[in-house]
Amino acid sequence: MNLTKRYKRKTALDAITLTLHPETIYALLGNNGAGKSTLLNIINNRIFASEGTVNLNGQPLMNNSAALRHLYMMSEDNMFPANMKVREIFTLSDAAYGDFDWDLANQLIEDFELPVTISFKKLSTGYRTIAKLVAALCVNVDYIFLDEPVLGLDANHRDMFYQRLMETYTARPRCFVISTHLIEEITSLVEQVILIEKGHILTQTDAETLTHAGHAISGERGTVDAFAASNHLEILGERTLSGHKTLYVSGPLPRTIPESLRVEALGMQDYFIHLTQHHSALGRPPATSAATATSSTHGKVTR
Amino acid sequence: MSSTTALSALKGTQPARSTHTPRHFGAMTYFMVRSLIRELYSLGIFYVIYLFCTVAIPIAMILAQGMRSTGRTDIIIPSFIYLCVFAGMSGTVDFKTQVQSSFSRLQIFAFLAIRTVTSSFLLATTTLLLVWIVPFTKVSGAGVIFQELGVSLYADGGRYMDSGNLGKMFLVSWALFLVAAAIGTMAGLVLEKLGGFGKLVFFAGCIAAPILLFQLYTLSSAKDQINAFFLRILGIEWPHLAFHMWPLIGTLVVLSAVLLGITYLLNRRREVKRVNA
Amino acid sequence: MNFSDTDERPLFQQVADQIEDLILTGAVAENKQVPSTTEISTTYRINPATVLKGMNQLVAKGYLEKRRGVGMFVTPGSKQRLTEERRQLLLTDQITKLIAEAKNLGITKAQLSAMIESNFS
Repeated sequence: MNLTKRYKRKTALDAITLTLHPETIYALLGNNGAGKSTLLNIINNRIFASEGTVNLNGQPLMNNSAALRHLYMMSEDNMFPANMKVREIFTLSDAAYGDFDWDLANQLIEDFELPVTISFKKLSTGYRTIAKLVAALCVNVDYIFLDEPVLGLDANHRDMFYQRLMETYTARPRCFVISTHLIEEITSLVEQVILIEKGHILTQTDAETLTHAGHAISGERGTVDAFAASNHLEILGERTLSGHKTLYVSGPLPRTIPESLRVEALGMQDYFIHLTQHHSALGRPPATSAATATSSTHGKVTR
Repeated sequence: MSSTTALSALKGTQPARSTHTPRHFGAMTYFMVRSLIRELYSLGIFYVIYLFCTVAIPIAMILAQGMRSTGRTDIIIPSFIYLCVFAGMSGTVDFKTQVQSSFSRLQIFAFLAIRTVTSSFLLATTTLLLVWIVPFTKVSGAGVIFQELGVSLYADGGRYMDSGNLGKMFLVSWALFLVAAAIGTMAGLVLEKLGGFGKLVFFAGCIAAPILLFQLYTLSSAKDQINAFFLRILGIEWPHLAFHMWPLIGTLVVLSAVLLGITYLLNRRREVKRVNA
Repeated sequence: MNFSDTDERPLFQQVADQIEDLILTGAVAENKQVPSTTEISTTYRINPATVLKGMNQLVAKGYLEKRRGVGMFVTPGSKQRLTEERRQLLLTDQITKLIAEAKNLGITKAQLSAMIESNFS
């Protein structure tokens, strides 16, 4: 797909091209206003692209109910009438998509102690999220889009959700696209990461690469600077305390590193933070990305 | 073995659940039933208010004055307004849930169109029942007797539709309510699309349009032709006020179709708006 | 098992290393089945593709063998070969590092040897 979404005053998405593979878990990362929700909303026919199309197996998705049946989006926005009973949400999902996984639903209802006989509006923010999550995990579709799936969930509930997500994914692999600000919590869950910034896709790569794409190098100021300069490392940020300096760098490190330097992988979340801060400090559109490979197309079903 | 192919093998070990097992009931049916329940509910409220205004208040007044009197009232216009408002308000409530239920915009339009037809049919039926039942309702004792609840069409046209003319009355009122439901549905979508200022412009336009059209009419040199045209499509034979049903029904159906056509266009690229943005 | 995303080793490498540990410590005997991809994946919330990548590394090294439809099993002789591999790693890589660090800190050869002597027994 190649998408552009323009509003009256701003371009929310600028010629985004993206392919999602089946049976893969993606993280969709970006700061607020980067265009994550806009992208997901367009894919799911909630809003329409100004230009471009979204295809599923070569079929345009727009207003194509047969194809739309393979997609489900769970979002912060409440799509159910306030007076709808929680169980009714599941019954409707069953009616709309068929083969609702009632076993899993009942298990999740028990896990989270979700009350099902009261109306949706009487639930707290956290429990509304849980109700929507139950529907999203149990609905029988191949592509599931979770926009802020842990909003309002406490640490225990989040943990339980990640656990059940992995269980249902291994039991029946589907494509999940998870958009969240709690990056650290999903790092090990996802296979692929899509970084989006100011309506552009910064990078799409596997989680492993991104986790080790950035490093923190600390040591004596002169040594650190010399090391970075001689290895042509892209510097995302720095912190200095007395003569001690920490550099946040992007790109592969040489095999041998001086003993006097301390090197740590940044991890996905910190890399993301330093990368986006770096870009906003430069004030440049991230069209020419520093980060790694573009998506490869397997012979699989693509979109 | 590369990890990709091995993973495919792993992924292939669990067969995906079939997507072809029969559904318990269709989502479309679900929304139809929901809509019907909502309509019956609001219809109940409407008739309570209507009967209170047209029966209870006149009876109270007659009792207070202590004399016999005949009350005449109209049911078509209040029903028309009721259906406009109902269709306008309920036309947008299911949209987001339908999108969440994988409905395409075309299916959502189909829902709106079917609902326009069924809600007007239901209202025409209840109107018919009311007109049919009331003649048998005699409120005696207090000295008030309701003999008939007739429905008149066109002020000077006399009682065209009454209890002796139920079949025709039903068809004409159905066609009228069809227009009401179509107006309401379309207006609901327009208002949903527009922001605060847009709504203001829309209302101003609604008020200004008839005035401007009438001014155009008075300035027009072809008044006679225009008069004749309107009388014709309304099914009135001038000057002896004979009424023909089919031209009017035809006009109303065409008008509904035009309104539904506009609804289709409004709905085609209708976007989900975030309420809690 | 425990996994960290700020570990210098990639996650799949951590998976492979920790399965090796299971074999080395005898937690999983030879010819016995190691935990399945699904088990590791759901227990530690790690993407199954990552787990599989780690497993495949061990298959490539010959420590694990795949039995169709059943799972991954520890190949006979794995424990012995793994012990040998770890030994080599310690003697070459880690000892070298230790000596370099000791030199940096001004620890003499005698001091280091004495330390090893006294701690070894």
